[in-house]
Amino acid sequence: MSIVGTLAMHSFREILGTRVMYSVIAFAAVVMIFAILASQWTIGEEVRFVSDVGIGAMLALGIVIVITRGAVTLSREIERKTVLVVLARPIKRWQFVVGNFLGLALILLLLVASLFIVLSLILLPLGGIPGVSLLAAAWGVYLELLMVSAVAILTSNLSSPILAIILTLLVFMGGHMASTLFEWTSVGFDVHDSHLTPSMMRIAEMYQTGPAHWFLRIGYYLLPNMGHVNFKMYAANNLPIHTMRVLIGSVYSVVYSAIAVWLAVAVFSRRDMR
Amino acid sequence: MYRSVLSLDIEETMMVIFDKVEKTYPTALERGSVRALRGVSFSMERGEVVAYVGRNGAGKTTSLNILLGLIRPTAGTILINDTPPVESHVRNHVGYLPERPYFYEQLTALQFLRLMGKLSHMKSADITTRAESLLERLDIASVSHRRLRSFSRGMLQRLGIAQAMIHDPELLVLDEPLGGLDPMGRKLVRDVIMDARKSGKTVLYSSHILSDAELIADRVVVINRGVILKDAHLDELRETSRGLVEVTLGPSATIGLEELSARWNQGKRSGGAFTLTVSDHELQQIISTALSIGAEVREICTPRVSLEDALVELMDESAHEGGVS
Repeated sequence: MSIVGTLAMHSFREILGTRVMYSVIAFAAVVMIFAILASQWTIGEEVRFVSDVGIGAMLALGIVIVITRGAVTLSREIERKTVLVVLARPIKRWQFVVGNFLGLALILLLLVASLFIVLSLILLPLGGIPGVSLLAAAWGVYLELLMVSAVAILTSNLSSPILAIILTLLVFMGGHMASTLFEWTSVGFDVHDSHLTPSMMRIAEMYQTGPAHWFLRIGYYLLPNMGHVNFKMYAANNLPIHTMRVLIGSVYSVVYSAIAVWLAVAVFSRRDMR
Repeated sequence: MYRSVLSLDIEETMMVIFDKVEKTYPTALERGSVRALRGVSFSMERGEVVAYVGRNGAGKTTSLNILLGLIRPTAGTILINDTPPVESHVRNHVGYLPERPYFYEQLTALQFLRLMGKLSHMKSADITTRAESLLERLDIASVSHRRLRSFSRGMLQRLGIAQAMIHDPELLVLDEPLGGLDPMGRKLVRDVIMDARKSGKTVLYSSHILSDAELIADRVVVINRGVILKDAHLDELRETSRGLVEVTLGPSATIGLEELSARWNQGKRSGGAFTLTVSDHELQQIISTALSIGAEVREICTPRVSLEDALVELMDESAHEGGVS
């Protein structure tokens, strides 16, 4: 196995053996049981309700893993000095960062895949046939988690663990608002001809010009646009999804993640390991 | 190729070369800086065991970490086998034990050694054989399947030595290898280092335990406040450190031990004799006086100076010179 593969498998096993993973599994079980019980009160909407809850749980639990492990992974290794014996080996620093990222990505894939299987098993007796739309929605969640993980690896390299967690959460939330921000800052956007409330109209007006406009524009291009990988509505409404949409979302996520990891490598390579 | 940048003319046989290495760390808020290393230069021959000694904060760990490529120097050149340590392949020949080792605590000792072996490009079968032999040698084979979180400081230290040696490196860089060990553990690790020397390995280790350095090292490099104070063989360090002589006087029919003690109050009494430690130029006068009062001159010898004494003296001299300048 290559050095990156060895480090990825090590990182994967390390996360798998933590209390966080046990908590995630327990919480996932609770959420699924809740979804089954609560679906009885959503007459005619059982499948949609369970799908929504299941996909939401995938994202929430994935974010818990990214925050508790990804956002602290490098800073923790440096703080505890476990990094010293690894980097003293004949390995390159990029291999260490990429290996850690891939280990995290592998754990998230395992989480999403496991929950997808559980969700499918729950949906079957309710009359829902888990199809391509549900699979696409789960894949979209994974792509979203991949981008947040890459950002987490980068922030864990730049700041203290607490600050890294806060920054990662802000990027995650900002990523969900990216499309809205872009829309509000667009020149052609008519704030009076939309469905906004009066207070939101005032905010949107403010974003049309001046520093706030440019701040949000730059933010839009820097933040991961989660709208590109959000396929949940197709699953919830059991609508067909275009392959090209999934493909574009996948490429976008991989490219965004690669850039964030590359930046993390650039920072990590220049760091003194004291 | 890299030798051309060296400021010194260094022999081809040198395995490790530090040439005018400087390291400056920025302090908080970038308002100042700390010069951890100030032109550190020394070299090591193949098969040599060198003790790198100095006080806490003298620059030992910074030097070793620079040698491993973990820290980048601000200036100067470091070479291992004629190659800078930032080239990752050179570290295939180096084994490293960090100070106060802390490893992945959810792994067992054997799993940890397997990981380290894989990262050193070893084959799985070779890793298992080598790991088992090292665990046996370091007397931790019985806990090879235990998770590291249950390991004591001494056990982690021994495992640290094992991981440093897993890929049978030519050069061992050990930061305080005897720290945290009980007397038995210290002896064991000392023996392991001695065996490494016998098998032709080059060993650079930092230590505060100077008595151990005396037993293991061929040469001592003393660092203080980022400056190399002394780079010498052990005997040379002891001899050059003092120009002192020990004179042992005995009582005679004309003068008793009490009177001798009263005359030279800086001496010490032991076993019916009285010993004075004096400088070379005082020796003649002391002997004349002793003979004139009828004392018996029993022995004149050079006192055995421990490495610790020599080091303390060097540090004091350095502090004094620093104060004067």
